Amino acid sequence: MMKYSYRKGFFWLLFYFVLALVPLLIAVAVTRPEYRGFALEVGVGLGFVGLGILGLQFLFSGRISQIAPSFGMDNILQYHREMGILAFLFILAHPVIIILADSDFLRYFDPGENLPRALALIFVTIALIVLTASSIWRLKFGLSYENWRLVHGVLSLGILFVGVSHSWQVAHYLDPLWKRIILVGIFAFYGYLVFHTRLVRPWLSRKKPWKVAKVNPERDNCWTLHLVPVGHKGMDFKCGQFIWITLGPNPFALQQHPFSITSACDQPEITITAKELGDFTATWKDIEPGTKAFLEGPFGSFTPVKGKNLFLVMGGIGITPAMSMLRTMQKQQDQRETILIYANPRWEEVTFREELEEIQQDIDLKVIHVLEEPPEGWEGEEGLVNTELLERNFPEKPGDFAFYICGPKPMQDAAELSLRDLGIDWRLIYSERFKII
Amino acid sequence: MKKSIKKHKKLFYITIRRMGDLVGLLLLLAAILFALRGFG
Repeated sequence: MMKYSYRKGFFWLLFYFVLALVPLLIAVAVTRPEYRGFALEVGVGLGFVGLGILGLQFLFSGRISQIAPSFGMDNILQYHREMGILAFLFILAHPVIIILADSDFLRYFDPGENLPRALALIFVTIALIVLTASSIWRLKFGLSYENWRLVHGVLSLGILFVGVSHSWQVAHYLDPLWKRIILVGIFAFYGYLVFHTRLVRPWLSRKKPWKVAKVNPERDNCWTLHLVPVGHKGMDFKCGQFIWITLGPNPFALQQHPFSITSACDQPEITITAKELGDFTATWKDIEPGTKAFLEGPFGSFTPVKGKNLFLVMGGIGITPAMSMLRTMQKQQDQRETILIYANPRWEEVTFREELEEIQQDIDLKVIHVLEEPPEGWEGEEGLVNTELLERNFPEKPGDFAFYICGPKPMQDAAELSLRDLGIDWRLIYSERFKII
Repeated sequence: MKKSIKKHKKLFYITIRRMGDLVGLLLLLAAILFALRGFG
């Protein structure tokens, strides 16, 4: 059974489109506001549509687990990013077009006429630019993930609040009162979603704490955290899914990061493995056993499809979701044909390579190592993942397979492209990208 | 390879990953329709 489908995709996009139109529909419902000229009305229309998209950003943020399975988490985040840029353009076009249509509206920014209004509108303009720029160029700004998260949440809520207040105050399009009340009600719900993600969920997760049982070193500066549930049964997840983890005694900490689960499902202990790359993962080797942790999830649809064999293209530490799949298959003696293309720079850096050899003994798994800098005498694949390499190792009946890609962006792009060139339907290609922000 | 990337992008344009553009375009049309209501 396929998880991605045109029908589902079409349904969600239609649903999104209608929801984004809600502020505009409220404006023209029952009573028609007085017409004020084409250019000015386009400016107003863009403001309402921009506000509609902005509200939906809270719903399509990748943290609402009911939506993600239809698309995959990385597609949702990509969509969130695209729509964020669109909302930014629409909302900024709103005052520009209105002022061009009638320069008298510049007075909205005049502190002498109405100080709170001018301050609020200047805040929104600056906040929108900061919000968008900090999301696109977070690393260039040297912004840590935690600080970015704080800025993103606070500014988003601030913009939403000012946007709705502005619509209420202008009132021209939202008269009578019931229109304003409906608009506020809908946006209060969107605002609640942030409150739910940042406060309610951590509050609930504090009743289900975990603790670090041990920290194991792996090849290539990677570390595995073994997490065990404290006073509860643990978490039901599908192999290939990921969790958000907060380490330490405080579930409300801003430091919360997504990691693929690497352990087999159907067992209480969860393991996650990461490479020492960022500020957070660099601390893993010093984590003391017994440290408290809070997990949120599981998320993601990067999971094996029932009845399909698996073709896995993994690069470096991108192997983690595949490890969960393979360990689960080994545990369940699942004998589906599985091909793993595993790309790494050097042989000594191939994480989990000994364990993969063991798993190969138990299930129908073929591992093809690809090395960028192979050792002398290497007879396996070398270089980068490309169409020719995949074609050489392609299954005889590709229609019986689902295809999974996870790894560094260049490899991911190349592998997606190659699979498409080899005639694979996009709905059979599952890719997981965590480097979105 | 360049041709292949172009083809890939074209194909993805009609898939979910690029649907944001289509939705954005439709929303822009909706805003214009809203502004045209005075001519109706």
